Amino acid sequence: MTAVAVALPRAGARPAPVRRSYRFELVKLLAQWRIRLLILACWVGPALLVAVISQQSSLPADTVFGRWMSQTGWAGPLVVLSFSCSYVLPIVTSLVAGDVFAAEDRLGTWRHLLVAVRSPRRIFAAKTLASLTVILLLVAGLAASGIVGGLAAVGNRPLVGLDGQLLAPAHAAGTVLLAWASVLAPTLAFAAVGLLGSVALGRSPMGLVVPALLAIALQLAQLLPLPVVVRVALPSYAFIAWRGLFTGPPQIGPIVVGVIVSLAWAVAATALAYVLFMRRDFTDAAYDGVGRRVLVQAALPLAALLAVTVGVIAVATRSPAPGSTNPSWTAPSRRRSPICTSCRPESCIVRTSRRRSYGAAPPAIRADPSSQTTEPATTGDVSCRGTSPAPQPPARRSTSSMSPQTGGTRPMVTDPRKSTASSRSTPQRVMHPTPFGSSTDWSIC
Amino acid sequence: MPENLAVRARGISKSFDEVVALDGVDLDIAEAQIHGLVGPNGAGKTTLLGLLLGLAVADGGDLEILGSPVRRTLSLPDRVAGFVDGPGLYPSLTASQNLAALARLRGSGSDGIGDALEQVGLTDVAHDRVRGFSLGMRQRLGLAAALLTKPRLLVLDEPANGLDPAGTRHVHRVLMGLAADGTSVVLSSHRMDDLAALCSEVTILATGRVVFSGPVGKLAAETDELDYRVRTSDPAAARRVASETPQLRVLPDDELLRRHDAEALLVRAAVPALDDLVARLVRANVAVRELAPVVAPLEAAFLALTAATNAPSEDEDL
Repeated sequence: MTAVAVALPRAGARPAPVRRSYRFELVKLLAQWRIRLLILACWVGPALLVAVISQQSSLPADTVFGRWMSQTGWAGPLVVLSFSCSYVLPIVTSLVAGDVFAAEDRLGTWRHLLVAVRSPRRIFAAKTLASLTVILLLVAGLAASGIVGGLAAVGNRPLVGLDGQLLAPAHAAGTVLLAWASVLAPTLAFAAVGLLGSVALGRSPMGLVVPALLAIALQLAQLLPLPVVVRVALPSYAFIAWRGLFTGPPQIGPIVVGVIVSLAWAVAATALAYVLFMRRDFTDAAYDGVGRRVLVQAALPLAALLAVTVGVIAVATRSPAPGSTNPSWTAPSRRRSPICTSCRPESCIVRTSRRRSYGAAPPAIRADPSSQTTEPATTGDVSCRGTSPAPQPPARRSTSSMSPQTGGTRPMVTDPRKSTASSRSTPQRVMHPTPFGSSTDWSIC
Repeated sequence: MPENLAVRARGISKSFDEVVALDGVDLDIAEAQIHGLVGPNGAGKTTLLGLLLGLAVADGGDLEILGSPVRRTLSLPDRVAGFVDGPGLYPSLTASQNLAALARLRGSGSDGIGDALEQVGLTDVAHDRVRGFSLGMRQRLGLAAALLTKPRLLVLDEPANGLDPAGTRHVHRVLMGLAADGTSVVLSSHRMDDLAALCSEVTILATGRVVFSGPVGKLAAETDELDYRVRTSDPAAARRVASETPQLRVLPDDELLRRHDAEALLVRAAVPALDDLVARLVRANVAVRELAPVVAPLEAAFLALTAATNAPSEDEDL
């Protein structure tokens, strides 16, 4: 008698591992010309822009650190960062995360994918990780390209902080990298909203533009005279909070709060997308998103999250240290020396917003190079406080950059080689951008 | 159980909200068999194919695939492949990249890619992007993707859609080769000639219920009456003989039919009555030059069996 071994099929073959599904999704994403173009633009574009702008006589002085682009290579990546936070990152997340699920709807490949992977959960994980990878690749490209462009075109020189303090090249490098790292959290939040839109709206092109629309809405919100706690509770807050790294001392608290809020949005939006995805009926070929239910299933939960975040921040900031009128995360030195303690945040924002035009009368910092400290100087109803000596740009560029031809928006720093005595006897006058722009000046009030 | 079954379904039911897609469906598909699945639109074919691919789970009944019960979504045994509503392909990838990505996803090597492409006749365009493929080429590439898994059960929805006659014959050869090698194929199609040429058995669905399931040859026998076209040496005599034949009805001249063949006679009868007609014509010295069904037996049976639920389309087709 001959025994014949028969290989019986397993009852329920195992789903494809997430690692393989992830690679599959990555291959699909990277094969799209749109993604390839984005990668090329993010890895090459900033370097070219920074290099070109740095060599021009007219610098983007209305952009944070824009005026310093010809002085140090570390200003370029910060200008790129500022621009990216406003426009590039929301668009990038729209084009990548906002389409990663909708693409399968357009191509009609969901059933094929499900049969191949055999686990909607793993498909969701793979798609999320793949889009996250591409977005991180793009952000890394923006940062690296900006840094390389700046360093190549201008050089590794000290960076003038927002309070006029000078950051040594090594310190500037670390801070620039930290600033870029801090915007990863809001980028994740926008990416998660993109995933949610992609899942909820199916093949509709609306899903593709959800992060961009959210970015526009949040920028508009930042322009409105909203209570400070509402602004801080917005997921885009960390897109501007990074500027606190360049004040003296650094304002870490707002950055931490912004990052936490952004991560909360990222987690909530991803969870909502996951729930919607797992509830989907993949046998329905006519499925085209959740339709009008998107308001209840996606928008309302995020609005609720915003409300909760506002409440938590409001409670947290109403219990500062005894005798202090500042938010609890404000730097100790700020709390010890508030510049204006009587104003309401809204009025303070209104006043400080006048400083946004740097061609007008800027806040002054009285710098005493010998003592390495500065005292706050008051100009009208705008107060500002410096904490470090005036910057001393590299000698090679100082003469030209400080010449009258550079316009009133340029720092009035004298070349130390030519007028050292003068600079010591006369307080240097340094114009610099407001630390947070009009939206976050409340943090020093 | 008379033979090994690739699919065994008993009392399968599936509803979407208040719409009953499948209602007590029984289905047996033997191994190494090409089984046709036909039915009018909305009969539940796609839902049944979805169940066979594990995309959904039945609300009631028992389903066994390759001997394993299926009780959860996507909990199918290995080596079940196919596609519903067209193959899933990524236009930004080339044909070979599509297959390679799929092979890596399944953990298999890329050794079989060349063979799969050759089987469906796409070797020449292996490195072309799918974006530029015609519908027929996509169908063939979808079949190649299914072949990569060396399936034991292949579920295909309209695989000949968009294929030219040469492509259709090519796909037929592939499917018959698979069946010869022991693969069971479930084929859903509206092209009755394809089904008649390929399938040893068919299942006809109407409004979520099985109205026929069995060998194609048995269909004609079970069908009461069919329409036949009779061409003879003496049409007038043939008409007279036919009108005298019991259990046979001479149909009024059909304009469309007359345009093709004015000499033909159109009769509706079951097979015994048709035999009687032929005998009477011979006795009356009328030569029978042609006796053929107006529509293919499978299509006629399909139309007859689904007539109650698809009356408007019956009128159009006839």
